[in-house]
Amino acid sequence: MTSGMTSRTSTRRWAVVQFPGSNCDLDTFKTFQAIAESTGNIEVIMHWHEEPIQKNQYEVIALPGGFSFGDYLRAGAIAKLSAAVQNLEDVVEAGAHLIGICNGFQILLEQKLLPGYLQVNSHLRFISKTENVEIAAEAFPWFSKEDVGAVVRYPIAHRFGNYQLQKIDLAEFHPVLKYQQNPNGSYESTAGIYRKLGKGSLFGLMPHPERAAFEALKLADGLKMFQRAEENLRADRSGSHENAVNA
Amino acid sequence: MTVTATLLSASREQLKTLALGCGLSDNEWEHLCKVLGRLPSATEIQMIGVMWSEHCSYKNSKPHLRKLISKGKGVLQGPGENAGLIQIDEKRAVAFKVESHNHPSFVEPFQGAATGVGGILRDIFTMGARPIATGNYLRFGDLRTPKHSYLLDGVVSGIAHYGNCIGVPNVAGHISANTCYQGNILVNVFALGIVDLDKIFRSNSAKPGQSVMIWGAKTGRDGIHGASLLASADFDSDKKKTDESENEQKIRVQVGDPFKEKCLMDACLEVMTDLKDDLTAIQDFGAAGLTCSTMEISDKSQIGMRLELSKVPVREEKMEAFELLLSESQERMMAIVKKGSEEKFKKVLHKWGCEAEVIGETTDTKRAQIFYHDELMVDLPVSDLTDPPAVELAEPSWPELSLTSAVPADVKNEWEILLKLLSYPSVASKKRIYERYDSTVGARTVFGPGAEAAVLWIGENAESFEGIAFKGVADEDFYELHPKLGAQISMARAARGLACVGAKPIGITDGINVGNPHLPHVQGALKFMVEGMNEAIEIFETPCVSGNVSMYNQTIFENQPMDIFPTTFIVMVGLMKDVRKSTPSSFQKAGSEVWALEVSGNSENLPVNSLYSRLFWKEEERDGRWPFLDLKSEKRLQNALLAGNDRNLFLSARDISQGGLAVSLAKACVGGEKNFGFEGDLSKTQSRRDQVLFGEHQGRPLVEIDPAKRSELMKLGLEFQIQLKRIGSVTSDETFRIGPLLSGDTIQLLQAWSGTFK
Repeated sequence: MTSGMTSRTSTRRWAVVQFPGSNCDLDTFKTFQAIAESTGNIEVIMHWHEEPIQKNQYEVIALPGGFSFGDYLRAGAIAKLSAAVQNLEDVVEAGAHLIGICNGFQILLEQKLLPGYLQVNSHLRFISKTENVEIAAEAFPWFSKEDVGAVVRYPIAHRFGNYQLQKIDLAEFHPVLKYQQNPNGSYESTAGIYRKLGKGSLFGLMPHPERAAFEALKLADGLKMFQRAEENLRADRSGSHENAVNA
Repeated sequence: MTVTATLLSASREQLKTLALGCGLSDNEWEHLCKVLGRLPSATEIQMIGVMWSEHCSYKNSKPHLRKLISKGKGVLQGPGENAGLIQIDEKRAVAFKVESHNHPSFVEPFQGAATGVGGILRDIFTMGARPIATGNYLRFGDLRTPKHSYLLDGVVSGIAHYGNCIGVPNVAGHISANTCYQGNILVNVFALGIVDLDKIFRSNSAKPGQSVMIWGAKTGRDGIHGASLLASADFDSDKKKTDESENEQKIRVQVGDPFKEKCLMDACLEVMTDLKDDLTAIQDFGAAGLTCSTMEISDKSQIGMRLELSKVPVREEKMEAFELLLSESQERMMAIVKKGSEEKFKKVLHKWGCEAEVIGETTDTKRAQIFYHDELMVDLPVSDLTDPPAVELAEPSWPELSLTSAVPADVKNEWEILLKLLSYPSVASKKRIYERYDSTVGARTVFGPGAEAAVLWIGENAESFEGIAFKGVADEDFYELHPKLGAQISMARAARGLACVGAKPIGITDGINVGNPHLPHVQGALKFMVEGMNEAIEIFETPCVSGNVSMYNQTIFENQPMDIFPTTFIVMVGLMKDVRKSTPSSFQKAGSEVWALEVSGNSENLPVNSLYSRLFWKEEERDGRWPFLDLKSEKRLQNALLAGNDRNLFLSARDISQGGLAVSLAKACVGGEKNFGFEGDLSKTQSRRDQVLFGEHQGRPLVEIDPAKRSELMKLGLEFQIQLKRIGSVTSDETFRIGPLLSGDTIQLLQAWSGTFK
């Protein structure tokens, strides 16, 4: 193994894209840091929305929750114009794993990278509570085969969380999270949807796993998801690295 | 150039008429002319009118507030700055304060409440602290009337709108209803933040020869005269409040933009870290906007300022000097920065989309000299005019408590009474309301709304577990009975709530709401509430580090102005070493035992002045006796609860407060994620049934323990000299029984408790 390869494999960068009005940016950053501290070789970066993202710049990219630009028009409608989210499709195809949580999910829908749209909750009010959510399908790197069927507890906090789809191409898009008790009227209780794209993936969800990622909060189901992603990506890297060496 | 040049044709009489119209008294007008040695300009009169308003000057409450105990262990900042500060470890302090927005919220509930949240958050981050939690304490009139149901919805929507967007979790609160608030609701908002000791900012540290900057939003015409005319006028002596139609008053209510405030907060916290040595003083624009910020920084820093108003970024055309000086446009800050650093600040503020302009400089003249297009409009000696001349206060008094020898009949229909108490607004579940507030953003919320006290994790990394907790209490009925007693019971309940979750109380902030300060009983309320708080502060070691006074809270009742019950929200803050040990407040496990921890003392064998007595006794049966309270034993009880919590003795802990034992047990059964039944036996008790079930004897929390830990609990009782009473056991079925007194289905309890707020 050459030193050049070592440095390439050791620089894993996880980024949180920060928009004016993001308010889960620090929570997501803190969660990523907890993952980084337990594994070592991850660098966590707060990425300002005005900077474009390059291909292969990051292994994991989070679009955090919040009210980007105040969301006075339509949730995510202004943020989708930011430089950082202009070429996300290429960045993901090249291998990045993108997770859009709450407002981040809304931005991905505005970008049309994921199907469907979010309406105001069926009872027309903001809702904040902790929900039981079932992992309904495998979604690399977030959920492995053995996670499927598990019920996890994640907080939700949104007004526009009623996820609707006209029709879904199940070959391309996978509803991977389902509420056990639909809190907002979402289509078939869908809480999160996943898409494999090129070498990377897109995962949009309304619940907040980053608010359930610490032992101190007596709620750490979200931490498991981020740990799983780290393990799967590490295994994947060493696997593809071995392949490269073998070739 | 002198200010007299701008007076031109205005006569002394015209100016005096203006001054009186701005809320100055005859005496204050004379004082102003005397200090200046000339006639004030129209602009100066308007500034002084706001500065000397009750809202800004506290002229009618200061003599009482000064007596509040504000010093104690760890206090880094007491009342007087934007928020109080108490050191919590070797590196950090907690900043907190409660503030009222009653009058604007009655006029325009959505914006009134929203800007209340905005204002208190600015107070916290102005100190350099990142806000991590808010709480809201609300009082309405009869919620069955369309007006008050509209006000409730508006206030809740406003708080949700602002708080959810800015991303500070709303983790606690309280709502109750009483006809004394029919014409004057209360909206008090609390915020708490954490600050590094080396990044604390104040308004008293500016030096001469530095640049004065204005940051944040542009200035418009909103909120002009809000402080003097909305918040500081009483019904009879100042006709403005009644003469103005509601719509005219609405333009005095500011409009908030939470997104702008979020950007201003992030920008401020960024410069407070990256440019902290260049930022010498900072003050938010609250009541009276630019006027108060200018005068406060100048007075506290003992400097002067020379400002040019045409440099202020505006969003409306042709604004006059007085409008720029009095505008209460939200989301603005005044910052004093070192010369030469201005561009660095502008860069960060602009990155966050905020305005940042230099509007003048600090001087060593100790005068506020304000120009508009190079014309001198204002030239005031700061320190001589910061405070109004002393006002003569009414002699404090409070009506004698009346006693009666009537003995009401004991309770008969216990079960129905329990259901009625559970559905009473101050007792009923507020779940449908607090679910509209984001209570988990920030990833710190251990216990949010609905718990005995809010608990937030403040560890700096995943392996540190320190926590901070707070609880706010105001029992207006006890305050009305006697303000001193009301303050003590509120203090005791706040401290007990903290001890129940496992947090040691460290300090308080007080939100005082009273009526017309010119009346003897309002002065009496202030005096006695301060006395009551002080007695508890001394015993609990919880200094008062910040607070707020709202006056002129009056309701028109049968065409007469009627003061609200004196209502002081005590918000107490506590610390815990390990949030993993924090104790929940609802039952956790079938089969566990429920015990009451009780401080010993004589008590009436009647539920005097309990919620039960107020709702179900005849007028002539109610009197001025109150439930047992002993502050010294309360302190011992707190220590027992804290020790028990530390030893992991309790599965859950809950105070007995409004509604008494039966209500507390019922809420513990149906208040958690899972419902439990309860089987209790009180057949041995000698007391009356109503006293046992619904009496509000203070100092009596309930704890749930594993039966195997009974001997450990006995030991705890002996150690702290606390009586223990076995009340019963938690069951997994659907029956709630306190034998031989009452029995019924838990589902009925749940329906009664959760049906009031929808």
